[in-house]
Amino acid sequence: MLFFSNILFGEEIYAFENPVYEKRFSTLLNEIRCPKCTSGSLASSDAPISRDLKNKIYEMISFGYSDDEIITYVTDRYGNDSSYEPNFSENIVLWLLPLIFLIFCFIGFYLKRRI
Amino acid sequence: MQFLRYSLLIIPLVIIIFFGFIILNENNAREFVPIEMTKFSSTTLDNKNIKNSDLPDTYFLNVWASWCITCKIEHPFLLNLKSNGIDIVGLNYKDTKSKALGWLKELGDPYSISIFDYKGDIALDMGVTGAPETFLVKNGKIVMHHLGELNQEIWEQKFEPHL
Repeated sequence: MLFFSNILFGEEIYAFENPVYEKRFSTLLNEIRCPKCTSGSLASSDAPISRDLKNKIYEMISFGYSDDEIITYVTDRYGNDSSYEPNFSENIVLWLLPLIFLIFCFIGFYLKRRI
Repeated sequence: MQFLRYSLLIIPLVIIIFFGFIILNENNAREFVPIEMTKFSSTTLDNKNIKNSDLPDTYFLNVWASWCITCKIEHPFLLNLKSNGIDIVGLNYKDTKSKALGWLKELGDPYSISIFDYKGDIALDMGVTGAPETFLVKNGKIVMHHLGELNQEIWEQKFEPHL
């Protein structure tokens, strides 16, 4: 007897034969931003475009695409902002800003001690 | 006092760097990165088969639907483009053929070809979020994508430089 796992997002029910696929689907939907919303993931959105993207991701998982390939598919079309995982190389300054701030503080303290 | 003086120097400097890079980042985000045009095989509103190779090397593609209010606002501008000899391919998005054809009969047809995308599959593959949206496709690549109403200002800003 086959057991199918079901996952409910919005009005659609997505059935998976493999629980790993179900977990990947759920993770991806929480990692990808709804393109039409100010904020909020695909999982939290019931906008028509989000429903279409959920169906597409479901289809891509079933066809054996990897998570990276699926995220690339979405970001190529809906921009890098679609992913909640910011790209390190494109945001390097923002990532390093706390370090820059610390360096300035150390320089400040060093100069203060010298004077 | 010395510390206060240095703080007055350091804090504005950090603020300038922070906002400087935010602005820089936004400018980078505005740059459009060309992607491959979707490979499709569909039908037109007048029931003819159509695929990529039937379209010219360079064309404007406008995503529209009869249920879309902004498309109605945009429509006169598209008719104006047509009267100036600009070919626009229409992508009728998640609509019904009868309503779409009725719209074109009533308001005028600015499209040289109207592709019918009932499920929105072609549009999804192109990165469409809704209607109206306009694309410029050159040699199989989407080189410009505008979300929302197309008007004279947007046309001059985003599309005309590519002509």
